[in-house]
Amino acid sequence: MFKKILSQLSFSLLLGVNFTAQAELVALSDEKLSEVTGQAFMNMTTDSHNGLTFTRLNLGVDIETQMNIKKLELGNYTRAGEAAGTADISINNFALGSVNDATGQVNPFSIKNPYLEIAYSGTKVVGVRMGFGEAKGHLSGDINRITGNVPVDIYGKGSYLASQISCAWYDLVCHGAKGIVGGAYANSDFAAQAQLVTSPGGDPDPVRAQFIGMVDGQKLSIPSGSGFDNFLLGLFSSNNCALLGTTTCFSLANYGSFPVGQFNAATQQFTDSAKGVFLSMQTQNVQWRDQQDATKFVEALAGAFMNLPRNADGSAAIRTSFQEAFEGIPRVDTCLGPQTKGC
Amino acid sequence: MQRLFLASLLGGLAGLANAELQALDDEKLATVSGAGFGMVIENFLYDGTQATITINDITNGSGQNVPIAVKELYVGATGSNKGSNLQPVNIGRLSYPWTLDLVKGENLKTLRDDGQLVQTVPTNLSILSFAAPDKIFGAGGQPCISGYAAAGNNCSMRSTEKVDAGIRFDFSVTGSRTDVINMDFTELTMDGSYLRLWGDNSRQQLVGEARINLYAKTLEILSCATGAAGCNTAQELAARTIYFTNTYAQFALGYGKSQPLLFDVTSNGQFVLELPNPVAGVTNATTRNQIAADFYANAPRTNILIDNLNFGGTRSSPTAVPTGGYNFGRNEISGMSFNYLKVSSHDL
Repeated sequence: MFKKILSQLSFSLLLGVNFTAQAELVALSDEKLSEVTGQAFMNMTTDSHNGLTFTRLNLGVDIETQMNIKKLELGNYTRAGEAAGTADISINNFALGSVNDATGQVNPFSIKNPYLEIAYSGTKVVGVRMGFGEAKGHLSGDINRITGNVPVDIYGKGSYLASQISCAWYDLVCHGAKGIVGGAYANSDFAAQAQLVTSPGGDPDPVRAQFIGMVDGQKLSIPSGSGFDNFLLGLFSSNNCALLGTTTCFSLANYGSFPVGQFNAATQQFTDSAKGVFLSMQTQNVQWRDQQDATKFVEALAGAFMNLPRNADGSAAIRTSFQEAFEGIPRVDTCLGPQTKGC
Repeated sequence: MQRLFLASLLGGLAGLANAELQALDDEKLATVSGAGFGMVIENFLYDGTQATITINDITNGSGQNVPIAVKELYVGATGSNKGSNLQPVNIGRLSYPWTLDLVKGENLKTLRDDGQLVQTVPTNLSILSFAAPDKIFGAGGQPCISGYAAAGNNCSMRSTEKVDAGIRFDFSVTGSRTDVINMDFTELTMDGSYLRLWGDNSRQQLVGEARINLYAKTLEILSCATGAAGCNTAQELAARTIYFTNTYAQFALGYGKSQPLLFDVTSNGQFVLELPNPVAGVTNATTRNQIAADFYANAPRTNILIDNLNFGGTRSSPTAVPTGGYNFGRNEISGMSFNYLKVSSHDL
């Protein structure tokens, strides 16, 4: 119906006259035309929090894409404590989705219900964010710097973790732990939470970070383990990017691709989307409403900011194995033909 | 139907004589390559600063109407001081007009980012082309943004042929709150923009490719209604202004040879916009690689660059980078291309 109206309208407008061959077309009367309304694929909503007011343009669209950007740089300005010439977010060869060169098919990155939101202090704009109701797929890039909230879950078997533990010959505690992790717990699933950090240091570093890893005091755990298991692990915590002699902070440049959303490594399939992914720019710290849990807020620091939130079940939007954390994650192919990136 | 329309446009036929029109078949249509129209508007001035257009039926989360008042629309010569001193301007010039053409694909060229002219649409097809003044290949180009070489020196519009333009939106988002977005562009030009349409036999539909280029020396967005409380003094206005300096956006949608832009409206009134995978359906790997190589070498890219973005602050001159406020510096998205894109709307 909408299509027919469009075609009638366009021809009436463009031609202004009826050709003989167009006899079956009938111009819309004003009355009928007044009944035509656009589809409700967009609306505007408001919000307020912490002294700020918000206006949001919601778009009812589903986007499937496999795309490449040679240079993505937001907020390249002088910032205290940061190296000159750097940007809040700087990623080369950025890509969403992947391709399968064996078949020529693409594996698109899915976005549902994107929105654009403005934060006001009175009538002054203090922030703008572009968010996605849901996002799912591979995000790739040569990451130079990231400002934001990028939680990561690292998981893996004790056998692999033990192989990475390096103990000084005199460190009997370390040797004992390595033996237990690689022995009694060899087949147990270990886990740790990681975020943007300084390296060396292991301190949280949400601004122009170059490393991701375990912050000081962060402990390993066995999610399905007993209280005793986790009590034992609780005796060891990451300090200055090291835990039991193994490195716990890793350069972001090592990670060619991140799965955004819940990704089943065994089947290589995405099982759920990440909710609450957004990119924002603000002149002050702004608490944006969390799309994952509408009762909560995500504080975005002044500047350009990327938010990849934890899922409702507490899992991170990005989940990677210890092996990938230690050795890096190879980039998925994002270019048709022989190139894998930079196309 | 489209053929009749095109034939009428080209022939200038109208009225009763239309009864004798015969539809052109594809073969005959392919032989048509008219000189088309060139449009130059001298002494153009649009002053809608006293007019208000209201857009209704955008709703809030409860389904209630959010009226949007469109005000202070103007287009005039540069130096207008945000529309307060509007003077007429020439849109295009005889050697570089806006054009409406029906031409063969092989006769349509696109200026690649590296300055090379390439063909992006299929050969031996008639293409309906609506285009802004061309970019200039070779010598004689004008700065796309004055004093900012990074935007290129291959535009055709001279500084006096660029425009100042503005528009204000008042969003009545609640009964007690109206959000204002008041935009003023200076030295705006669209050189190298085009929309190309043709019929795709295999897809049995109208397809196209589009390039929308926008170059502006400055863009300022004021978020309050001038004269209202808190929006009176120079200081108040400056604090509520977002300043863009040396900004351009080159949006590229479609590459006719292997990735035409598809647009459709579904039976329930929703739209679908698609850029198909250029190698979809190609079974031979070598052929796929050749298509991919051509696509990456010649398909236009989307680039967006803001040399300086500043929230608040003041300019020392009309085009100077502001001081004060929050300086977000340089922001760039460059070399963007889609191997695949599908956007489908749905009701919220």
